[in-house]
Amino acid sequence: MEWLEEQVRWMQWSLPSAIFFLALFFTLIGMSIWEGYRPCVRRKGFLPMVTTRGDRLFLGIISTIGICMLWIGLFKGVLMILPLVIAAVWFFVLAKWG
Amino acid sequence: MKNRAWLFVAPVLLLVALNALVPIMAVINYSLHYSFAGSAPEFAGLNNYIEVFTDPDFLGALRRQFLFSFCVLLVQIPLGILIAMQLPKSGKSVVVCLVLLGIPLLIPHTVVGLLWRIMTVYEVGIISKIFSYVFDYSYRVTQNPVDAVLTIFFLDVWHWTPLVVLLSYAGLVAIPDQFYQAAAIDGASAWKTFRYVTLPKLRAVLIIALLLRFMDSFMIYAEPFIISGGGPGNWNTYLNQYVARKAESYELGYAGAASIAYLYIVVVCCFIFYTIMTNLGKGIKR
Repeated sequence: MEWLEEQVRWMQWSLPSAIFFLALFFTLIGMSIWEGYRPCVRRKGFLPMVTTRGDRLFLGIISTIGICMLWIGLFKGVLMILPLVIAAVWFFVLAKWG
Repeated sequence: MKNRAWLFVAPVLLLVALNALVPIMAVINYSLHYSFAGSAPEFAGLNNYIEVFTDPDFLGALRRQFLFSFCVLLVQIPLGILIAMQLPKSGKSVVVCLVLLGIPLLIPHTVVGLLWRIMTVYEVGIISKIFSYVFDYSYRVTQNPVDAVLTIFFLDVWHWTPLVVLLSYAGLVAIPDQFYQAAAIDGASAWKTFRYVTLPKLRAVLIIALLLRFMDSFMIYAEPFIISGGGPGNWNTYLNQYVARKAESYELGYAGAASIAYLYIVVVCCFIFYTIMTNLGKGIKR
């Protein structure tokens, strides 16, 4: 364990960033298991293209980052909980009807 | 059988993980910390991102980068198609044309920058002399912002339009003659033949050309650095050079946040281009 810690020290891991990457990692693992258990059907929702479950996840993550960056740019990062709530609602809408 | 396929793919996945994911994870980690060389990192949350998106220098570099990529694509793609359409389709001259067109592509970025630097040296370089003799204009790359920006623009057009030409040419020769014969029988004009036969058939190669050129123009670094060091002022400082400057000054957290923002913009733009281009011809029923 100490050896591994020594090897990855240059990457500057901290608890919040580790939680972020673990969440991303387990989401991908979960999506893979879900896909194996119940293969997704490509569908056309309100988005102007046919999407799979993975596409909607990708778009959700990308647009979440976009919403947060836009908020930071426009409002200099005040009340960061608000863009997270907006992004969460948007993520849900995208996953359900996208 | 399906699971066994994963075993064959596993080495490549591992390589990709080491080559791409590990550095990206490291950059994301750096972007979330106050990190200066020689001192212990301190968790910063989103402060580096706030600093990046409120920094007028970053926003200026971003604006210039978009403008540069937009202008370059606006010229290179139509010009590339136009030149490709004029090239001979058969005979010995094809090889000569393709080799001549390919020469700029073989020259490294730094050498191209140096070539154009030499050609634009005030009252010594050929471009500067032509402007001086023909237009009675002092072409000064290091002093006049317009000259500097135009030099980088024409340099990029000269360097990379051949790539679009070669890709378009490969697409053009793959279009069967029957399509053009059918268009001629129907009495289609040259424009309509181009619009409804050539362009849809070129869609796949144009996607590749557009994506490659967008990503490459968005990563321009060596040429403006060699020609005018990103100047005069910040006129030729694009995102790549701006981020590199920050990293060179050991503001690793800030540089990390700017890099992630940069990567995000490239990914989103490529995704939008790809989606638009792959869906473009699907509505055409004629």
